[in-house]
Amino acid sequence: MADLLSHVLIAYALLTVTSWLIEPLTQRWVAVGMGGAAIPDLVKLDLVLDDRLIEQTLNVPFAYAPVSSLAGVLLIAGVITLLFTHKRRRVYTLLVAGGTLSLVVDGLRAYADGHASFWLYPLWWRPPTPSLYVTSDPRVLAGTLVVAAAVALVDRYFVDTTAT
Amino acid sequence: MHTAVRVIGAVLLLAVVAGAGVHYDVVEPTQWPYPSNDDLAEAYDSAVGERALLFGEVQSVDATDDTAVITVEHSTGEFDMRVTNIEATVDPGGTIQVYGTLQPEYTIAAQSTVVVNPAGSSKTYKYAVSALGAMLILVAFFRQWRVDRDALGFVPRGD
Repeated sequence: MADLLSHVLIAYALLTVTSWLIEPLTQRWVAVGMGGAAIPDLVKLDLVLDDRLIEQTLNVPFAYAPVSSLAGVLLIAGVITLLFTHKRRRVYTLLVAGGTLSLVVDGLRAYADGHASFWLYPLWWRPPTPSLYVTSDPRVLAGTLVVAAAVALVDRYFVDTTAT
Repeated sequence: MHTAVRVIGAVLLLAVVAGAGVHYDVVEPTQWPYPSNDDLAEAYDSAVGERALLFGEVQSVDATDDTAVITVEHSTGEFDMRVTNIEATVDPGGTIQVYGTLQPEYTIAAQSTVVVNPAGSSKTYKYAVSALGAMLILVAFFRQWRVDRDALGFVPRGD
């Protein structure tokens, strides 16, 4: 997957541009979408608590992989939504939008056989990937930084944000 | 919505996530188009001649004949694979994907390779950058939202 900072910056850029077109999408909601973009990255809990250790301890088969899938985003966004006290429908929509965006971005990264992971789970299909990048390539982050900075500048100086 | 209802809802959803984790791990090997790492660990010889997609950490590289040795993890341990025909440049400690045909004696003839991490330090880079991402989310979020202790949940700032 792309690194978490790239995920967040891409969500910021895309949602901010969308906010220029859709009035109710304010900075408050862009921030929720940025949080949603991190949902697939929760799969990295693996680094703290290895899923193989869970398997051996509980003696059940287990993988974190679905966290970084459509099902994982839809379910975990639901959990996070319940931490909010109002406008939950909009919270959920933005969390899912941010999370799905990260999945799509991850779906473009390189696989040696040209097919991405099962990120559409519960659908068992590995969509073809254009193999655009590997995450360790600093140009990925450099590119998203430039785009996010440009969007932030336009947002600050050229877009009327008096309506909050 | 009552707090108790929210808590129960969250617990139920997390249970479904855990269930998906079990379901995925059981079903994935039947959907994966190649022999799984567990298959290779248990009965390598019966998979010789088949295509496989392997992920592994590079142990050593021999640039003179374009081969490398990678360590592949499976459910209960790991095994080493010799990779022939590598065209990419990678250092020991790096991570690669190899797609190719399985040869006798834990060898794979690479048809294409992807260098996931060119060296061990690539992981440090990814973790550092991702930690910055986590901080950015927290700052962006808590500039707009705060925790309301009475309602036990996030509420917008300034309301």
